[in-house]
Amino acid sequence: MSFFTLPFYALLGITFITYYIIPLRFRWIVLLCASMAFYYFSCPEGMGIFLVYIVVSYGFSLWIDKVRDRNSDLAILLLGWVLALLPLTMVKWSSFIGSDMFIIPLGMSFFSLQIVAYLTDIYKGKIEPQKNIFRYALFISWFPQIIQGPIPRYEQLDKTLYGNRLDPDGVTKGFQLIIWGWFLKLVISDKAAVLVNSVFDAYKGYSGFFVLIAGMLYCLQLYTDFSGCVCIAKGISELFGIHLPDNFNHPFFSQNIKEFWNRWHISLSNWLRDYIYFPLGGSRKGKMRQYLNIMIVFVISGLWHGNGMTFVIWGIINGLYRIIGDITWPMRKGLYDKLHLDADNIGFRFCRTLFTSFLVMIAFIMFRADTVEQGTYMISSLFSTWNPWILSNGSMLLLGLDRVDWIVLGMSTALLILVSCIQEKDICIRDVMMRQPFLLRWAIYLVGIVIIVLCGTYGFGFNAADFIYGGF
Amino acid sequence: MPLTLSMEDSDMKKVFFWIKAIIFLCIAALCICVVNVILLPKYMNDSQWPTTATFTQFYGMEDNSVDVLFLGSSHAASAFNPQVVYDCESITSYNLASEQQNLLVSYYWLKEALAIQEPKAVVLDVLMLFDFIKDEPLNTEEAMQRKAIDFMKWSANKVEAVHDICTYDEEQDELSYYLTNIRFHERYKSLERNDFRFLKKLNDDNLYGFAALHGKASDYEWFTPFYEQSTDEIAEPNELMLQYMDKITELCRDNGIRLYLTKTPFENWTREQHNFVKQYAGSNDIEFIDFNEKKTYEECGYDFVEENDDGVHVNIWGAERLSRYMAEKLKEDGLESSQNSRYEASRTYYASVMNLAMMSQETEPEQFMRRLRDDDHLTFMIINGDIDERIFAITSFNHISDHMAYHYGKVLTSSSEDCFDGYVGESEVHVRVNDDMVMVNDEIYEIEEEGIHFVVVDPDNGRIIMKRCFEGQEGNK
Repeated sequence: MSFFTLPFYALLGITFITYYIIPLRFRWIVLLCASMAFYYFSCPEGMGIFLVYIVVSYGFSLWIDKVRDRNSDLAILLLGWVLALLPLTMVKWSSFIGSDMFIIPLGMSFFSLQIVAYLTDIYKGKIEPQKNIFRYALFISWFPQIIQGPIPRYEQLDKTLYGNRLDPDGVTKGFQLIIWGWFLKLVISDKAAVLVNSVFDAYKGYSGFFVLIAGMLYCLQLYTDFSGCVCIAKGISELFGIHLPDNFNHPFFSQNIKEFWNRWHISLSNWLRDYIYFPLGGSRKGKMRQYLNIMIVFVISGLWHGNGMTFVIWGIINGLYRIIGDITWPMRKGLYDKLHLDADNIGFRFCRTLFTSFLVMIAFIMFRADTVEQGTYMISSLFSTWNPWILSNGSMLLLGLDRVDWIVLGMSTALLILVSCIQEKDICIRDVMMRQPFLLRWAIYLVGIVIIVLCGTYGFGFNAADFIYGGF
Repeated sequence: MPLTLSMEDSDMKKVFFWIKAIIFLCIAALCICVVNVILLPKYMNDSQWPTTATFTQFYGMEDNSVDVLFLGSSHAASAFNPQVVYDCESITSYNLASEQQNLLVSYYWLKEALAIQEPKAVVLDVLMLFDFIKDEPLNTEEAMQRKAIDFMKWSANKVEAVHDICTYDEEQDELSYYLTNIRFHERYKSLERNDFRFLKKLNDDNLYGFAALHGKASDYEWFTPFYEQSTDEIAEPNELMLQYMDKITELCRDNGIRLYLTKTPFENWTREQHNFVKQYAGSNDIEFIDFNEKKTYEECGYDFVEENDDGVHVNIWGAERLSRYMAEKLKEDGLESSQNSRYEASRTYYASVMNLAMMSQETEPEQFMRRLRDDDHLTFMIINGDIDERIFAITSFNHISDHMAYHYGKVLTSSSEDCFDGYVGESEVHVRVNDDMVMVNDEIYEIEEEGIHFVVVDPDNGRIIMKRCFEGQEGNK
């Protein structure tokens, strides 16, 4: 059961109606039942392990709270960490040794980190533990976010998770986000994936601009896939008055790699910062230690993202970007000053954005590659051939996308950039839409739905049910 | 007081919200339905196999006005012409056969038909009783099942049919039969006028499901079109198809319908298959009419060499013979004649279809041009090189210029310029003609040979339906 199956929307519809029919104080029970039903139908074999996770981590949360401020509390926290992360670590380890012996519960990469954050925040006294195990189970299992995140903290969810009155405007805005999420996933991401797969699956036949285009489209695919999924998760949550944290803030507008990671998968970046980087000492223990900590964080991020060396190398590349960026910053700053390059100059900003995106793309080629050899080959072949004429000689039409597909992809991407530019100016498009007459809004929704139905890449030959981040 | 008022406002807002949400969902569902209908591939009367017209026009028939139903594969679709059956014995019939129609589809279309008609007889072609495409779980291609099922109205029969199809063919998805955009959403790239006109109005022209084939595969002089040797061996049927054969038999029996099994003339039909069907028919008290048997073949007067389209299908002339034979047979078996104004009126359309078929076979330009007088299509004539002007004198056709458009033999448009570019008469058919080609809407016919070129266009949808070239110089035909 995924965001693109009819049973999912049947479950959502039933949950929505039931939620607003029954009295306020029981509404969270509906969400819990829906979350458990979703989990059961999506991953029946992992249900038992998931419930054990909930019960054990719930026990640990009460235990940590009980022994807080005593000498043993850190040991209990660490034991809780080990228990929460051990299965995930074992799965990662088994993939390295080529074994496939574990049942992997759905969303384990996400809820493991959620549990670690929850236990740590109780240990630090930032939050009080949830005493009701069923309410706690809802926090861990909230179904729109369990497959692909974001990774919310307890304090971000507890105010809205346990029952809300119907807010028509909130529901409408949630619906808007769902449509936008569908658009990103079906019209942009899955269409870009057609070309990306063609090039990556037969990478030895492509070099130069072929790899460049495939790399750029992979960045687009990954971003719209993941952000589309988060939009749907946030939109569904907002139907119930629940507010999930933002996970993206237009990462491809970043001026440097550090900023990119502050805008990309924000909930994971924050988690790594708060629960890995800071406890390791962050930047407080000298430059060398800071760089080591950065590298550790990115290697862990790589391991979290996937099973295999390509992900570790992707993490290392990003760590190196960060470290080199930090080391060379005084030199670059001097150069900018010498050349009188104003940091606010739009042309200069654009060039920096372009360069940052290019670096990100190089790393993502390794991320997408099936093997390190493939990734290395493709990155080197990107620079080894100069063939810009393939952009105009019809070669681009031989990679799975025809002329109409390119037009649709181009126009959709232009719309995405336009929306992102508007949002960068702190304008909330959904608020603007809410101020329009409802007939105009309906017309926009209907046009959006028809465009998705017509131009979306789904159905026979395509599997829209698979989100890239759902595999992590 | 203000607090109470505020709460009432809030409640009203919620009530409006639910009402608006329901209305919006209904409109959205309607939009998706319309998109689904537009995206469905349509095979109308201008197609070789007009499956869409067959099924949609069937729903347009007056209730309980059809006495005989023909079912089966394309063999039956091209062999039984309800207009001829009516003209011969005043028996109303409808041909619900379609390309690769397996017996599961035949069964559900029969069930669907029984909801609106009370046929006295059903004639079923038995080709699909045996393995047709072995690798396919349903014996036929998925596309052909969809062609037949997609235009069945939403009903319990359709739900059951779809469920059965997807049970036996696990690669198919039930939802895609209801939300057909799942299957056809890529079609937005190749939509044509038919896709939108379909919503507006269905063409009244009706062949009652008959697929009129114009071809003649004349290289069958060597072929003996009936069994010469006898054998007692029987062929093995397809197990699933046999189950549905039984269901059809039972359904007919339950509804008091006389069932006829038949096999149209077909070069690959074997005596063993004949034996099985004969045995099956005998044990179920059903009549089996096999046109591959010498006696039946000769009685109906069929000529395999002249009256088969491609060695597999009967052409329009052969269909006249088989249909007449069936009409007489049905009459003999007690089916009553009844006058029906619809079938009376559709004679004109069938005559024009037959005229077009004759045009496709004419070898003399004079004959072809004479037939243009009875043709309701738009015909473009382009003269390339020297021609014998006597042709025009013989046929009394006006020869004003080298580029002309005719309708019922009358000149609609002519141009003495080297090229013509514009709409023809008041039609929506846009034509561009020069010395090298004719372009009708987006379709191109290249003019290479010298002579008189004719391009026949369906004015209804602007498609080229026939291209002919007669060399013009005397003695050089």
